[in-house]
Amino acid sequence: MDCYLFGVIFFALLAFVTRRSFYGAAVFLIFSVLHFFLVLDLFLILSKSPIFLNGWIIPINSAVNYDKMVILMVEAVVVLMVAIYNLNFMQRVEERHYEAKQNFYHASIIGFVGAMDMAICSDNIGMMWVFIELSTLLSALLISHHNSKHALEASWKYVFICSIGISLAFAGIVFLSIATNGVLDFSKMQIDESKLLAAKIAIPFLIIGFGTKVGLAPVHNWLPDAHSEAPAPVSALLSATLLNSALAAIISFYGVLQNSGIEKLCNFSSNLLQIMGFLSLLIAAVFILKADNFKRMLAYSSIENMGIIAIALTLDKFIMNTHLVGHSLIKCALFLNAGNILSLYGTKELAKVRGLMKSHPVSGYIWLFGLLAIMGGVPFVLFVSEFFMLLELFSYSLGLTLLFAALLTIIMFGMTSKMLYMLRGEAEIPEDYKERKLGFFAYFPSIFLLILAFVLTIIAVVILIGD
Amino acid sequence: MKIEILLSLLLLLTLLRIAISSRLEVYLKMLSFQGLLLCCLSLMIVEHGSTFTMIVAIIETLLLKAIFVPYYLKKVIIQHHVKREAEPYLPNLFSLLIVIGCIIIGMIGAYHLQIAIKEIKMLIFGVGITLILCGMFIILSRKKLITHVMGFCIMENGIFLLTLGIAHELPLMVSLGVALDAFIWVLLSGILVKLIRIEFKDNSIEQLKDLRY
Repeated sequence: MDCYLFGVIFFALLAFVTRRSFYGAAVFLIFSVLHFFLVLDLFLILSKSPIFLNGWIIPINSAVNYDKMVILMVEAVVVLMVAIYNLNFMQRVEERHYEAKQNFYHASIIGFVGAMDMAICSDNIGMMWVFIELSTLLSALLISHHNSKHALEASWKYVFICSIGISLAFAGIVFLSIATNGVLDFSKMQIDESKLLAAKIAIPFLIIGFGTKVGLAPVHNWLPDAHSEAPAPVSALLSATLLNSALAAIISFYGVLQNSGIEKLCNFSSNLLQIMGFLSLLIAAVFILKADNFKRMLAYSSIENMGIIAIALTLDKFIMNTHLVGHSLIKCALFLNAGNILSLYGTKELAKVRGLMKSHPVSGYIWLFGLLAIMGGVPFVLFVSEFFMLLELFSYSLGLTLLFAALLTIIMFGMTSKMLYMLRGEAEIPEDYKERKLGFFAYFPSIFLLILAFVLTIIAVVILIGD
Repeated sequence: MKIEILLSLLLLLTLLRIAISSRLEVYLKMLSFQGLLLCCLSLMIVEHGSTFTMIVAIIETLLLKAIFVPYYLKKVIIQHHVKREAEPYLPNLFSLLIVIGCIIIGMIGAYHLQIAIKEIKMLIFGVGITLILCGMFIILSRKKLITHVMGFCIMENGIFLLTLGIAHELPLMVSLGVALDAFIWVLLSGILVKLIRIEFKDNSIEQLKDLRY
């Protein structure tokens, strides 16, 4: 682990001393390729076929189980794709304000990825907390990278709301350490039955605290601002990896509660997660209908999907993991494509983007299939997970099933109408943007991620029906 | 034991002083004083701990909370000609009443907790809860961004006290990491206050209301 930490610091410093954005982006790309192979190595060790480095750099520890491996693997793929996109993105915006601060940008993006890895891999909930907070701080400057009024506002809100939430989570850790007699390692943690009260107090603190970072309602307020104001690669990373890394803390904690076998605590935490999940769905349904900015629409869809994942966590772990993987891959593809649309039209306002299909068909098709996929369209992985979730919910309670279906339908309606508005009609592109063409690598990551999501659908169907 | 009580009472007094003041200098002085008190308290409580734990506690409280944070915030205030008024939304009398309310809630909460869980130190836990509540109150009731930063620092002090109030020490790496995060947080918020000041020509939270829907 130490070796890995030094590697991250080395690459961050290397990116920091680069003079041109191309070199910075290249350093990030090399880092992401190495990162991908390291995680792959870890995966091979976990599945008992060590062929690579044998865990020399990131040693396998008892903390990395299959749940965490799923999150790590998704993160590795998403980071690699974002790095490829970033190379193109940097060339596109080179002439503007990016050049001056590009070294800062690339150094923090590498540090940010490293902090998320460490957060996911650490076994100790305290260390997890430290790295999750570190990832907040490193990504704050990335969000305000444009230095515009809105970006600064979003960045301030992000730092403040997340830090307060994470501080509350730390108070939760203090209470948890009372309940476990000072043991903070997930693998050894056992809840002392004579100190149930402390554990009971720890639950809302930890779930709401880390839930702030996950973006669960009612503590989601930072999420739409941060996601919509950040540069496209950063939005993609935030949505597809940062939310998951905070979710890893909740999943591990929930696992400990389940293992303790104390029914009171399990029920309390499940109820809390379900309430927050349904509230997230409700908030997303209301605000997607109102959204006038296409990146904000995607951000609200992240809130929706995090809500679904929180509910799925209380129902079935496999469905949750399927949904998590599907959401990360597809949302990353969509945010990267949103960056393309922003470059082509020069605006984030939904009302001003029209005729995408005619003027930029590749972007249009990615937008079409991506949004269909994220809404739970038929041939994609989220349909599978949402369908099996409905079945699970049905055996649990009829009312909740109907509520879930109704909210999903509203969200689908809102997103479809906005999507059709953007795809159809005549394009009204401003004069400066008319001749703009994007290279192959602006589209490749999105297309690759969507295809990957489609392949995963088949695997998920085979496994779920086999069950 | 008596010194512990005295230090805790002094901590509560700093909160009352902040509540009735509208000058930013007073806030800074009280923050610094709180850091000093926390240093004394932590040295008294972790006296059985290892040398490393002591060193980390001194770094975190004395160097970071008592010296660096107030000094850095003062520099930000002077550099950017932030007006020296805290600009509360509420009159000072109400602030005072609310802070007293927080103290009562914190103490009653800690008393009930101690009945159920024997191993916590009631007084320290109570002051910790009070500091967290008051920090939140200051964030909610003041207009300036820089006072929000201070409110958050008070909240962090409260969480530090919570960790002192339990019988088990946190692992050394965790407390080091927490100190590092707190340090970066203050630096970062200072930078953001500067950038917002330059961009908005003003430093109050009322400007940051553009992003909706």
